[in-house]
Amino acid sequence: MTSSLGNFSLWVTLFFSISQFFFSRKKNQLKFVTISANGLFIASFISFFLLMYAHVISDFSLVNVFQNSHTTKPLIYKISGVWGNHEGSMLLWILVLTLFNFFIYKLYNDKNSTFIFKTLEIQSLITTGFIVFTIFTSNPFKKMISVAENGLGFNPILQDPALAIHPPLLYIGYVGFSAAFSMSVATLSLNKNESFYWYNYMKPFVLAAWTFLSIGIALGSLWAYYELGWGGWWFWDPVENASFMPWLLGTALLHSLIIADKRRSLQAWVLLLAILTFLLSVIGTFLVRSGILTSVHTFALDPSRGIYILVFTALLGGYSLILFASKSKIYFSNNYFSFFSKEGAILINNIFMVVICSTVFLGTIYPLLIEALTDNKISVGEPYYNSTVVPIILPAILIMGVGPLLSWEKENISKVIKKILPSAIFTLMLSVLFFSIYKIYSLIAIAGVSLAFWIITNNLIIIYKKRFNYSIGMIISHLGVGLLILGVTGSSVWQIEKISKMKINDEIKINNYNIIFKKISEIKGPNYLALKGSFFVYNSKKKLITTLNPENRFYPITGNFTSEASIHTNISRDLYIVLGKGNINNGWTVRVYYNPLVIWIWIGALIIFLGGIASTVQNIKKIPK
Amino acid sequence: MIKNKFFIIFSFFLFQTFLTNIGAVEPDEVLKNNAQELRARNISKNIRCMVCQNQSIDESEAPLAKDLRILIRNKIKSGKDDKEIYNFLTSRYGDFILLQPAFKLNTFALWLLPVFFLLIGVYVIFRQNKLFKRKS
Repeated sequence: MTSSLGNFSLWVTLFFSISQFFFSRKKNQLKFVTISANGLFIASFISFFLLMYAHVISDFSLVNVFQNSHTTKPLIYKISGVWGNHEGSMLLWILVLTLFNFFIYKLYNDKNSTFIFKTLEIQSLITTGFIVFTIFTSNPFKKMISVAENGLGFNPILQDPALAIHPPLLYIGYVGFSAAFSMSVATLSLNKNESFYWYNYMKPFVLAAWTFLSIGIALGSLWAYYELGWGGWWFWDPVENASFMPWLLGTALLHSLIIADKRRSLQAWVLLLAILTFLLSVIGTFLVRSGILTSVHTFALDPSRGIYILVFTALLGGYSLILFASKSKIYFSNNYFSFFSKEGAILINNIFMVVICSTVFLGTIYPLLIEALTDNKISVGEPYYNSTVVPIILPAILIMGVGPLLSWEKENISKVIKKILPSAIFTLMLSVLFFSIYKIYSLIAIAGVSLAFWIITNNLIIIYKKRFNYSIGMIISHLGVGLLILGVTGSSVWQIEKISKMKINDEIKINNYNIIFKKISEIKGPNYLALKGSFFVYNSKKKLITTLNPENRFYPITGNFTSEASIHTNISRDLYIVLGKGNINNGWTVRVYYNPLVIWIWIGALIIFLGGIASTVQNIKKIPK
Repeated sequence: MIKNKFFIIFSFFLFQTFLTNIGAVEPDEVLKNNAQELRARNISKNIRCMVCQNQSIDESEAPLAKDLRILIRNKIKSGKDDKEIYNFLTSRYGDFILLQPAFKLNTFALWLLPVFFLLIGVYVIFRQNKLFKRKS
C-alpha cells in the first residue's frame, strides 16, 4: 500500500516537474506554471511524508524501512532515519529543491516574468534529473518480496541529534545554490534588458544557501568531535571535503555578488561562480553517493548511480559552461579598480577561495585518478591539506580584517593606516596578553591567534563606533570567523593528550587538573548496552568540579560498538575523556584530552550563522518588486 | 534491568576486538624516551592504516595498525632515522601507506598545481591593478 502510494506520488512529482518545464518555456502560461510549481511542491511533500510515516510506524513492507530501521529505535531517530540513508536522502533533496522552486515562482511579477520563467525552466530540468534518478536508481518505495518481522537497524554512530539535522541543513545549502545556477543560466540565455537586477534575485538565495551550509558543516564537525573520540573535529575526509568545496566557492560567490550589486563590475565572474558552485555541490554528492571514494573498484561493482550522476553533471556542466563561453561577453566590464580598494580586497578573497577549493578538489580526486590510470595507489591525507591550505588561508584572513574598511574603487594608503591603527594596537596588546598566559610560541600559534584578534577587534571597533553604513550581518559573521579562528588555533596548538592504563581509584594529572577513576558500571540504554566509567575531576585547589562519564556502547541489533566521549566545557578549555579497552584486573585504557578554546569554534560558527541569517533577511527585502 | 548477564560479559569481550572508533595508541606501546615517542607519534600520524577508511595508524585500533606502531617504535629504538623508516614502510606497502604523498613523478601535479593556481590568481590581481592605473 505505502509502496504504491509512494511510487504514485513520485510519478506525480515527475509529471509536474516536466509540465513546469514545458509551460515555463511558453509565454503567458502563468496559470499552468502556477499549477505545476504548486503541484510539484505538494507532491514531493506528500512522497517525503509518506516515507517518514512508513519509518515511524515501522512499515517493513518497504525495503528502505527494513534495511534502515528497527522497532526499538527511538522515535526521533526513526524520523531522522528517513534521510539517514541514500534513498531517503534523495527524497529530502527533491523536497528542498521543489521548495526553492516554489520560492522562485513566488518572485514572479509583471516586470520580471521572462527572467523568472527562464529560471523556473532550468530549475525544472534539475528537478526532473533528480526525480528520475530517485525513481530508477534509488527508489525508497521499493517493495519487500516478503514482509519481514523486524528491520536490520541503523548505524548507531549516526544515532545522534547533531547528525540528525546535519543532512537537511547541508541540503538547504547545496540546493540553494541550484537557484543561483538556474538564475545564472537564465541570465546568460536572455537579453540584458530581460534579466535586469539578476544579482538582486540571486543574492538572498546564495546567502541562505551559504548560511545553512556553514551551520551544517559546523554541526558535522561538532558530531565528529564528540562522537569519533579522537579529540579532533576536522579530518579532511573526502566526505567532509565534498561539503567544504561548495562552501569555499559559495563564500567567493557571496562576496563577489556584493561587487556585482553595488558596482556592476565582475558580473561575468559572478555568473561563472554561480554555475561552478552548484556543479561542485552535485559532484560532491556524486563522490559521496557513488562509493568511488572508498575505491575505484567499489564504484565499478555497482556503477549505475554513479554513472547517472556523472552523466547528469556532465550535461549540466557542459550546457552551462558552453553557454557561459558564448554569452558572457556582454557581462565583461571595464570598471577596473585599484588593488587597494574594497573590490580589490574582495577579488583577493575570491582568488584565495578558488585556489583553496581547487587544491582541495585536486587532493580529493588525485588518488582516484592515479588508481584509475596507473597500477599505483596513493593516499592524500590530512598532512597534505595542512601543508597546502593553511599557508594560503592565513593571508586571506589578514585581508579579511581590513577589507570592509576600504572604500570602493581606490583607497589612500595613509587613510587606511589611520583607520586600522586602533585595531592593530589592540591586536598587539591582546596577543601579548594571550601569549603571557598560554606561553607556547610557534609560528602557526602566533599567526593564528593574532589574526583572530585582528578580525575580532576590527569588527568590534566598527560596532563600537556605530558605523551603520556597514551591513550588520557581515560584521556579525566576520566577528564569528574571528572567534572561530581563535578556537581552531587554540585547539590545534595547545592540545594535551594523556593515554594511560587506569584501574579503579587511579589518578591522572593533566594541565592543572587531577582526574580520579572512581568506578565502572554496566548500564542499559533504549537500544544499547553500555559500560560507563565515572571520573571525578578536581582542579588545582582540590575542589571537585565535575564528574565525567564516558561510555562504551554495544548495539545488539546491528552488532556495532561505539564509544561516547564525555566532555566538560568552559570558555577556556574542554576536558575530554574516552574509555578504551580493558578489564577489571589490568585496568582500562583511558585517553584524556585537554583541548583549549574549543567552545569558540562552535560559538563562532553559531555567530556566523546568525550573521548569515541577518544578511539573508536584509537581502530578501531588497528584491526588486 | 539487565536480563542476561552472560550476554553482557560476552559483548564486552567483543569490545576488546571490535572497538575501532577510538584513539589507538595503547599505554604499553609508549616508549620511555619522550623524544623518541614524539617521533613515533609524528610518523604514525603520517602512516595510513591499510585496512581502514581514511585513518592513520595513530588513530586506528586495527591489529595491523598496532603491529605497525610497534614496528615503528622498534625501528626508532634500534637507531633508525625517520627517512629509513619511511623507506622501509613504502618498500613493503607501497606509496599508498603515506598520508602525505611523497614528491615524485606521479605526484608532481598534486604538489605543483596549487602553486600554479596561486600564481594565476596573483597575475589576475596585478593585471586588474595595471588596467586600473592605465585608466586613471
